[in-house]
Order: sequence, then structure tokens, then C-alpha cells
Amino acid sequence: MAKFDAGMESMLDTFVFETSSLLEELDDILMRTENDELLPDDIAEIFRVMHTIKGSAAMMGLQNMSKLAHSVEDLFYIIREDNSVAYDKPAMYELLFAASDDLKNEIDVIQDDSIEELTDFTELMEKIHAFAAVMKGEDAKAEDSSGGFDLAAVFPDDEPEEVVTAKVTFDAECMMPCIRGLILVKGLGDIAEVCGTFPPDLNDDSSGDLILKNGLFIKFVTDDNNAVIENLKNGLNVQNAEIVTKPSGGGAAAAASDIPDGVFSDDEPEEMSTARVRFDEECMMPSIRAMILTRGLGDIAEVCGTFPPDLDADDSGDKILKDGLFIKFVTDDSNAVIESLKNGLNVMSAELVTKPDKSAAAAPAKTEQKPASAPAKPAPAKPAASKPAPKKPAGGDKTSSIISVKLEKLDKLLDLVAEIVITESTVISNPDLKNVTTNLDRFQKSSRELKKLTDELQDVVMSIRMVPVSTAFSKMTRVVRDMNKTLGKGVSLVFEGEETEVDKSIVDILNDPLMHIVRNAVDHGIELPDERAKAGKTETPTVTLSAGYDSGEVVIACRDNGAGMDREKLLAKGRKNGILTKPESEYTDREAFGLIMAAGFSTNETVTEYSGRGVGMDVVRKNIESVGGKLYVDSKLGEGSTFTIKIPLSLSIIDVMGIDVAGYNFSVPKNSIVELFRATDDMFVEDGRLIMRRGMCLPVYRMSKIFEVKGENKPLTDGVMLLCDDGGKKAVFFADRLIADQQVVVKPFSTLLSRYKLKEQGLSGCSVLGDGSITMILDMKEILESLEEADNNERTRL
Amino acid sequence: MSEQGFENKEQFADLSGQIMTFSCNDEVYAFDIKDITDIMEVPEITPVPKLPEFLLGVMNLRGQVVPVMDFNLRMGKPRQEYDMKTCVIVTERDKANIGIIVNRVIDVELVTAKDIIPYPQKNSVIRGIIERNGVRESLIDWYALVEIERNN
Repeated sequence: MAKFDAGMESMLDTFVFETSSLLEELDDILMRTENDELLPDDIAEIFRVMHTIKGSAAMMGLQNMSKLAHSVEDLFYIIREDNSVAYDKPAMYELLFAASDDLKNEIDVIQDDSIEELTDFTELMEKIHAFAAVMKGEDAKAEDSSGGFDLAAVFPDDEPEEVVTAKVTFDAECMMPCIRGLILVKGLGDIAEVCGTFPPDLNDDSSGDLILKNGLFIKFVTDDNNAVIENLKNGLNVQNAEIVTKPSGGGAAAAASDIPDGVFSDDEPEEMSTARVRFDEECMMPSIRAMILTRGLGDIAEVCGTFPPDLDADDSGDKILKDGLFIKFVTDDSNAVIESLKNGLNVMSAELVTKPDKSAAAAPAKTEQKPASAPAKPAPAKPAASKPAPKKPAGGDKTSSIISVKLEKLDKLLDLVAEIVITESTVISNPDLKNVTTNLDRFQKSSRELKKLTDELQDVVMSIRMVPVSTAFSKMTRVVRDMNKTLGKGVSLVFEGEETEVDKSIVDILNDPLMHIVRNAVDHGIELPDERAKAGKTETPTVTLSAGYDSGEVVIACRDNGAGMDREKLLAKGRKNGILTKPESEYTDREAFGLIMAAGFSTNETVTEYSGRGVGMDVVRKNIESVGGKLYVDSKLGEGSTFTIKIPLSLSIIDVMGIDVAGYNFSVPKNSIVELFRATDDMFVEDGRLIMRRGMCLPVYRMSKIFEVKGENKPLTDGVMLLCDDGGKKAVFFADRLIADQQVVVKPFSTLLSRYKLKEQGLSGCSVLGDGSITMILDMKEILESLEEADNNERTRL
Repeated sequence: MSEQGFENKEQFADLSGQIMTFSCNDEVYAFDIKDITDIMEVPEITPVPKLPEFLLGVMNLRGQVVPVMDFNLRMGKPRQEYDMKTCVIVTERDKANIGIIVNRVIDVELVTAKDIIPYPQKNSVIRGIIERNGVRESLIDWYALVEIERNN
């Protein structure tokens, strides 16, 4: 069974995307204002967010989400209307966070085909309603029972006199009042002609509630009123039936002047025209339609204002349905405007209206009904009408200059560009060209041109996919907040370099690992307040998330100033779990701390809500490794731990030098090569263990030794030397031969090879070359680091 | 017999019902046919350093880089020269591909769970043995073969 309206499936992606970003926005506001003052702007913003979610969820047919959003919206309606209202802020924030979480979960639920039922939010909604009721106080209840309902709405202004209206009330226990209503109406067929009902559409789900609350109004023409009433009274579940008459009041006022008060202000300039647009009765969300209409006029007319002035306001929709929408504008071609308005969706009619004669406007009806309010009423409308509204069109332009594109499409584009770049290099450096005897100058020139363009194309496509890492970071604020609530550690979360831009796919990959690491840091890393006091730590418990670039990699670190990890304890635990692979004394610090990333390893004796099951870190490591990244752990007992994630900046194309090492085809990223040269005998020091170059004395390594590949020991002067520098460490490497200068698309090694830790040994991935052969890409930084470590251990030096 | 058959049903519930048999070092082995995506001639193999001897390296399978394993070496048998009948069976599970070099591919056979005698040793490359018409076929456990943990 579909969870949402069939036919809305195509909208699902958009809905998910928009609602998710709205909820993130909501979380941001909530986080910011939780310990701060809730400003009117924020209130309006939250109101807007919930309103939009309510609307779009209703459009998708997701009643549960829509209703939950509605209840929150109601809550903020109260706050917005009466800023001085007293409420329990922490309790309200709990509710709001719970609502936000539930909505987020529900977004996952609707996308998950294996879950068939929508979640029932009744419990939370009841809590919110209860909270709202407390806020509203006593008068709220009165309003609830009847005040919210305007009897005048039942009686249209143009109702003929002979139409009689009966009000039928049902028992509270009446099931499906809509159906009962329909049956009643049908039953009248013989004795009366039914012209309509209120609520108008008895098939609509929401009508049921309205009927139970306000009663059902049936309009009919008949000769015998009493017979009708009798008939109605005999209906099942009917409590009472009576004839009601049009209340004398607002209705009469509206009838007197078709155009409501406030549409025209006194000081309106003459060149301003006013159009009245009427919408279909079935029009959903008329205020949205109205906004779209006004925006659509942008090209042909300058819209100065509308009536009702605030289209965002909740009650505007009803007003628009009732009186129509009035748009004020200045234009050269009013006919074009009217045409454009008429073409709008759900628009029934659009016409130009003129200011009624002043004396006529002050209609007798109005003077007798509410003399006091007549002069006062136009006042609030004045600013709206006279306000030239450049703000709205400007906002419209801004949104229209940004489009959202499916990531898949960008992926496809990036793949294509990567293939183009590779194909280009196979064409330009095609071996067949070597046999061509004619002059290739022009070919070379055009190919340089082509290369420039493809490089630029590549840069542009890559930049499209770049997003600031803050999108991943900001989610952590919420995690830390929740944990502070339950654990009472008062941890503050600090961001560094959150503007660092990384590929969108990396941000997506980062979300889960970051969540785990941050949770671990707060739960395990940071001590409880009294433990901290005991250890003499006075600084605020802090978890720092930092981001930055380091030689073609994105480095994301999570640092805490907590207890740190005990190397011995880790090793002991490792021994107990039987996961040590070599004698304890041979473990470097990094390896020892790395033990916490082994499967089924947890030093925390007690399992908490957040961590301690030991299933986290190995999954985190696997996730990161699956995209060619690395995870390091550093720690100092008593001072805190740092988890560092390193992920290649882009998951795609890099410039490399192809080298041949005893028949193996390796590629060295160009950004780690300083220079290539051929060595001469006089450069060497200490039997070729060191080399003098550029005024430095550097160690020399044979690539073949590093990778333990068999090959003849060529003299060092007989091949090519690569001076490499990565992460501040320099060394010279010897390779047999230089093969090519090329660009490659990095592919990580198959997951089936991950157990051989090729990455840790300096092989970051592989790539298929233009001729179909495969090259292995070296990670010089990793190689330099491990060589240095080996040197320190006085091993494997050449 | 019936009791054992029931037990087998549980244990071999994931089998598709067809197996592909191949020979290596004069013994007959079998893969579940649904794990196999390609059978091809031995392509050019790019050696990868620091891998165990039985992992020969990687090959280019339509733009995908796929590791290649020599089945004889994996089973601890001596290396055999590749000839015309030597081929690579490309297998796939959990979206991970691996090519396995075998001496020759024999046939596709039907098999049901009750035909299979479970292999007594746990964590062995062989899951079970099928004995019929005087031929003994060893059914391979893919996860044990590639030495990764089962995902379920």
C-alpha cells in the first residue's frame, strides 16, 4: 500500500529534500535560541517552517506529518500573536525537538519501501495540544468549543431568501459523521431540494471533525420546514436538528459592500490599478496560489501590494476564498495583467476593480453595524497598500537563480568528464602519432587548446559538487546537545574551518562516522564533571571538530580534552579479546589506539544509550576506508584524544607520473613530486644510501625494495630519481623507467583486498588506463611516513 | 536420513539449485551458479605487490578493476601452467567481484539441498560434498574462499 498519494511519487524527492532542509533550518533555530532569547523573527521563522511542512505534507497526502506540523504551528501561532504569553521553555523545546525528530524519522519511513505504515504521532500531538492549552489558559477552552468557528461563514452573502438552513448536531460518539451527513442529505430528497451543505464537501476527511465540532448545516428549499426537521431528527446518531438564520452582523456588512474594508486606502496614487482575482472553491492553499500569481506578474507589472496584505498569514487563505484576492500594481498594459492572472491555476475570474465612491463605501450597513471601527479599519491596510513591494520580487529572483539538481545527474556528469579527460589524453598521446611523418604543429596547438578547455570543464564540474563541510558539522550540534541533556557533562562543541569545501559525496559519507566519533568523544572521552574536578581540569569540556586540506586530502579531526586513552589498558583488553597480532612491545602508540577500531572491541564496561557496544568504530573505519579514506586515532592519557579522518579531496581525477618498477606499473601523484632527475655517481653519499640534491642531503630508496617486488638490482644511475615531498617529509625514490605523464580516475581497491591493508602500505588505489592496462596509485605520504618510522627502528634502510 | 535432509535444507537454503562444476588438480569443485557473472579466458593480469601468492593481482573487467585469484594456489596446491582450457570464473557477492583461475570448467548441474553432505570442518573453503555417479564434487563457500566475513 502506498503511504502517500499515488501520483505524488514524482514529487517525493522534492518533498524529501525540501522538508529535510526545512527541518534542518528548524533545528538550527532551536539550537541557537534554546539558551537564548526567542526573538520574534525566530518565532515567525519556525511558524513559517511548520506551515510549509504542513502544506507540503498535506499535498503529499501524509496526514500524520501534516497534522503534527499543524499542532506545532498552532503552538507558535499563540506565541506569535501574544509575545508576552508565559510558557515553560525547556518543556516546549523538548516537544519541539521531539517533533523535529519524529518528522525526520517519518521522512525516512516514507522512503523506506519495507515499512508500510505511517507512524502515528497522536501521542506527541496530544502533548503539544496540552501544552498549547496550558499556554492559552482558560479562555482557550472557550475558543476551542465554539469561538474558532464563524457562523457567518455558513451564510454566503448572495444567498437567496427562500433558502432555509438547518443545523444538525451529532452525538460525540458518532462514527463517520460525513457519511451520516450524506445519508441525511439524500434522505431529504423527497421533501426538500437541498442546495448545499456546510462544510461544503462531505467527502473530505476533515469535514468529519468540523461536523462533530460545529454541526452540519444543510441548506434547502422546501414547502414544509417542520417535516424536514422531523426527518433530520430521526437520523441515526442525530442529537438535534433546528433551523438557524443568518446572524445579523459581519454578514450584513459584507453584503453591503462587496469589496472588503482596507482594500483601497485614501492616499492611493492614481496610476495604481487594482485587480480582483477569485479562486475556485476547491482551491487548496489559496495564499500560495496568490503568491505565485503575484510573482508571475513580475515581468509585466510592478506589484505594490495585495489585500490581504500578508499572504503568509494563516487566515489570508480564507479571506482570499471569500472576498477574492486584490492585487495592486502599476503597469502600462492592464489587459495583459488580467490575462496573465486569468491563466493562473484555480483562478475562476480576474477583473479590474476601481475604488468605490467614498460615500458609497461608507455604506449605511456599515455605519449602523460598527460605526466605531469604520475609520479605524483602513489604517492597518495602509502601509501594506502604499508599501512599494520591491522586496518580494527581489526575493523571487534570488530563489530562481538557484536550482537543485539530483546528485545522480552530477555524478553522471562527473563520470563523463572524467572519461573525456582520459580519452583526450589517449588521443593526444596516441602512439600512432609517432609514425606520422607530416608536421604536427597544428595538431599540437589544437590539442593544447582542447586540454585547456577540458581542464576548465573538469574544474567547473568539481566545483559544482563542492559544499562546505559545515553541513555535516552542524548536525553534530544537535547530537551534543541531546547528550548533554542526558549525560549532564556540559560539553561545548567548537568548529574550526567549517567553511572548508569538500565534495558533496564526501559530506554524505562523513555524516555517520562523524556522529559515531562525536558520540564517543562525549560519552567516553569527556569525563563526568566531578571526575574532571578531581583531575584538576578547570577548562570547559570541549569537543573540537576541525576541517582543512592537506596535500590533496580533506582532513577532518575530532578532538576532545577529556580523559584520553590508556595504551596499556587497550593492549590488555586486546589480549583478552584475542585480537593482538604481534607481541605487545611491538605495538606503536598509533597501532595500540587503533585497536579500538577492531570489531567487537569496547573498553567501556557499561553499555550506555550512546556507545559502549563496541560495534561503532570498526563500522566507522570500514565506511571511511570504503571511499579510500583513512582513520587515525591519537591520544594522550589525561589530556584527550583526537580522531582524524583523511579522505581524498575529490574521489575522481588526479595528475600522476607513471613509473615502471621491475615490470610493475605504478603512478605517483604529481602533487607529491618535487622533481625528476637522473643521478650521477658524484651525487651519492655513504654508498648510495644518501644523495645530495638541491643543497639537501636526502635518503634514497628503491621503489622495488619498498614493495618487495623482485627485480634485478639496477645501478642507481641507470634509472630515474623522483624527489618526493609530502606532509613535510622528503626523500628520493628510484624507479627503473618513467612511463607517462597522465591523468587517472582513482578507483579504490576491491573491498575483497582490504584485509591486506594495501592502503597502509602506500597503495591508495588503482586506475584503468586508456589502453586498458591497470596502474597502481601510490600514496607517497603514507610511504614517507612508514619509511621514517622504519628508519627510526633501524630497519630496511637501503 | 530425513532428519539430516531437514537439517541440510536450513544450511543450504541459499543455494539456487544449480551449480557449475570445474576441475583443478584433478579434483572437481563447484560454485553456486548464481554467484557467477562471467567465464572468460585468462586476461592480462596486473600484479599487485604485498599480496599473498595466490592473489595474482588485478584485471580489467570492462573498466572495473577486479582482483584475480589462482584457485590451485589458494587450495595450497602447486601452480599449474595455464593452457587453452584454463579460464577465469568471475564471481560476485555483495557487489564485490573476484576472478578465480581454474584449470577447466566442466558443466552446469542441478542439485538440491538433500544431495549435499555437509562438510564437518567449520571455516573451511568447502561447504559440502556432493557424491554421485562415482564423482565427488566439493561445493565452495565463497566467503571462506575470499576470506571475508559473511554479511548476514
